[in-house]
Amino acid sequence: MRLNRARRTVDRALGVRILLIAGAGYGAVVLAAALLDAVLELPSWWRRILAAMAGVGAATTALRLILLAWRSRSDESLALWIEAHHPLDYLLVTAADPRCAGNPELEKALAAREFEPAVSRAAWRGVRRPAIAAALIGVATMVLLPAPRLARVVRPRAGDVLNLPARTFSSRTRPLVVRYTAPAYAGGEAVTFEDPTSIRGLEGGSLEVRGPGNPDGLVVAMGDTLFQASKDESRWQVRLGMPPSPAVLRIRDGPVERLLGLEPVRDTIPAVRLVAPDRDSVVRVASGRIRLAALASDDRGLARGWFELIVSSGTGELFRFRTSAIGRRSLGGRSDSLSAILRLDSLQLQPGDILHLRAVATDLGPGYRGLGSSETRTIRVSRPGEADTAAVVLMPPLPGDTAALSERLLIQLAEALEARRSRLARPVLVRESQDIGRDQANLRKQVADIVFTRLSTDVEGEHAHRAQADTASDLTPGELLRQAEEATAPDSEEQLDFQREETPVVAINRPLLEAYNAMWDASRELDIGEPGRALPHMRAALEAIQRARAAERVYLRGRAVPAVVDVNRVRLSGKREDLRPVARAPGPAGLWEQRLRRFVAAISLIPADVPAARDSLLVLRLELLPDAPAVAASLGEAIAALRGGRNPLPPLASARAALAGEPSLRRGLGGWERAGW
Amino acid sequence: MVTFAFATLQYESGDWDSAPLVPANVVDSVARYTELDVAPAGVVVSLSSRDVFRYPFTYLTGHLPVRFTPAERANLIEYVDRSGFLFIDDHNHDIDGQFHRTVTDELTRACGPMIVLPNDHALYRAFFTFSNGPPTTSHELNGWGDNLVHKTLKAVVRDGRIGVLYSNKDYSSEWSYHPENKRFLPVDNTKFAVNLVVYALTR
Repeated sequence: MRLNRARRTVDRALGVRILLIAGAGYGAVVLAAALLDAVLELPSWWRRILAAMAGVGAATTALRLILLAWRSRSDESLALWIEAHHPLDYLLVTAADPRCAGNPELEKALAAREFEPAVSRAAWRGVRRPAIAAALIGVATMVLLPAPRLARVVRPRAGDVLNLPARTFSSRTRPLVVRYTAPAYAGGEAVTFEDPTSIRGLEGGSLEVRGPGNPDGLVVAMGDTLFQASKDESRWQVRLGMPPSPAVLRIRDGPVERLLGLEPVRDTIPAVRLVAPDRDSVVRVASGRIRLAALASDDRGLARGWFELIVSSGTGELFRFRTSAIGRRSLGGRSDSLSAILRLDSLQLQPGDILHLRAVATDLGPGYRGLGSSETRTIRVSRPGEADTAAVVLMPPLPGDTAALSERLLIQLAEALEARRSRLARPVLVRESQDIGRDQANLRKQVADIVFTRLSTDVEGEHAHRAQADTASDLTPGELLRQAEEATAPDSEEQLDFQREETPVVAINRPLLEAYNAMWDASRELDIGEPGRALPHMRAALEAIQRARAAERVYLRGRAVPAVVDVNRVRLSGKREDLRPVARAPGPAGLWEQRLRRFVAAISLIPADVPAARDSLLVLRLELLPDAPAVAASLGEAIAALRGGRNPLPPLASARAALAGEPSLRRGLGGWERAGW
Repeated sequence: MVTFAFATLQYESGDWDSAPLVPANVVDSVARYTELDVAPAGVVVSLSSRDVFRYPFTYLTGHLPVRFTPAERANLIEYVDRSGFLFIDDHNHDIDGQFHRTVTDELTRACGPMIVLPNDHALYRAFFTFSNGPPTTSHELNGWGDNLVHKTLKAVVRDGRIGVLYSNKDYSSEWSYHPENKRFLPVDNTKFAVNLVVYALTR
């Protein structure tokens, strides 16, 4: 029992000793790490390692000591330890021997000897040195290290550099701590960067930039946009969003400027695949049902999907389009499917119409990135008799004179004049109206050339018509229209070619003839200064022209003869005065020449001012990200190398070669060599 | 010396052949103003065929919605990456039209987003000088289509070089006349085509 009491005393003292030893060891490592950090400004991951080492070391030490103590925990060991510190003539050792347990004389002799105080003193004496060491380390820590410094090692975290007193820093632009938070739809994760050169994150995320000191007089700008810095205890901070395109954030503190690159990562649009229908089709009758199915996937998350339908109707130069959507629904997750049934009857497709069909999906990201869409299937409704016609290439219509004012533009001019009528003097109104009338007459003559074909060589339309002395010249436009209609009637018994002695008039296009007549009426009104009264006739003429365009046309059968240019004849026959030598002189430097010059200027700074060179390269890199990502990547490597004190020459050489337009080595020619060169 | 041939791209969807006179007109202009060895007639090449890689300059137009097949899209991507020059012109010049919407959608899927080409780009100084950017067409002035004058062109750029030039100014209509009729025009409106060809062959 006395031994057990002694054991408890020793155990208490040993426990305290072990704690003090482990603590002193931990404190020593922490102190050393903190002093190292004060000199070298260790990054947070280094400090985490050192903190972990200190903790693991302390725990290991404590465990080892406990293990050693546990091994020597027998009564005999304890008795020996006690005898060593307070000799008892080996009475205690003998009493501890199980073979001598219960010996009354031994117990009587032992009872007469007191050893407990000595045991207590000896046990607690062993605590003295560790306590002194721990106390010294503690005092040193408190004297040498402020609390923020200590916290950097004990509880290291990204961005804690700003916890140090502001006087520690020579400028408010360094160090910077940037906290980037991804958009909510992308998980909203936050990442903290300590003193970065550039930040890369998903577009739409939020940025919180902090630096040491107060915000007074600090200028933070991105392009032309200024940001107001606010105070956060002993720091300044700015909040902004990740821009949609690469940009530079400039932080200026008096003469000192710091650049921070912002590199947005684009949220890719969804990938959509149309599963059904799986091929294009031609149908004779637009009826029945078609099953539609599609699969969509996205890197972040899908939002909505539907099937888009475009119906195109028309031929030649006149087309009409109708769009609609079916199967619209919300999508979820990173992959989902779409399905719908398309009833062709509901689209009211006509022969010749084409239905273009595709599946579309959106994601949760910024809407300005666009839609993800699938392949397009077309379903065409065949024209009657389509299978009966010979497969020939139709000759295109002859082009008209594009230099003439169109009827549409003449209407606009007349409407504008009519709107100004009340503000114009009568002579001015008449003059301007007659100007429009002249243009209308020009257009009418061109229409006449098309409408009035001749069997003679005389190609003049109106004039040849008026030169006729026969009844044709006395016909009113309405009578002319009726005669033309009769002449072109399919059941007409009269021979067109030999109807009269004079050259007959054959109208080949009734709508154009109506347009011609309406233009006559419009010209009469315009010539007397009445644009308002001319407008109905002009609009009728335009409507007739539109009908003429939509009319069925008969083309000569056969393949259109391709136009072949007599190159030798026209060689260098262009007007030489159009070629101005000054135009060939080097004009303002092109974009790439400018970029190359800026690159050369930036690298020339490296020997004298590495930070300035880095900043210049950073700005250039951000400009190149959209259209020259490979060059931007080389510049990024060079910037990282300059920052880390490594050799930047290889990436700089690669970037220079690309900026100068030097050919880059590729393996093979790809499609070019397979083309048979 | 390699002969330049004006190649019109044939694609499966839409009316790829809506401007059959443009090739001859451009060939004529190239011969009139330059010493480039040029084939006297244009050629038609399928976008899905590997033959498209024989032509450093290609032309695509139409009115109808454009949807590329997988083979066409793959060829387009490789063609642009291999420094080919594709000129796409909306024959409707209607920015809200289906050709515009669909072809820009297809280009974005295949080659990435287009940028607005600045009006002081080297393209506008490649042969003739166009100080104000792309020349206006008579169809824009006449109010056809969307009744707008489009002041800029768009492009897909690869390492500073135009890979795809996109226009909705309707140069296809502007240049759709027989080259013999050029003598009747007070100003040759095909000069910009010379810039396109020279840029494509020299950059």
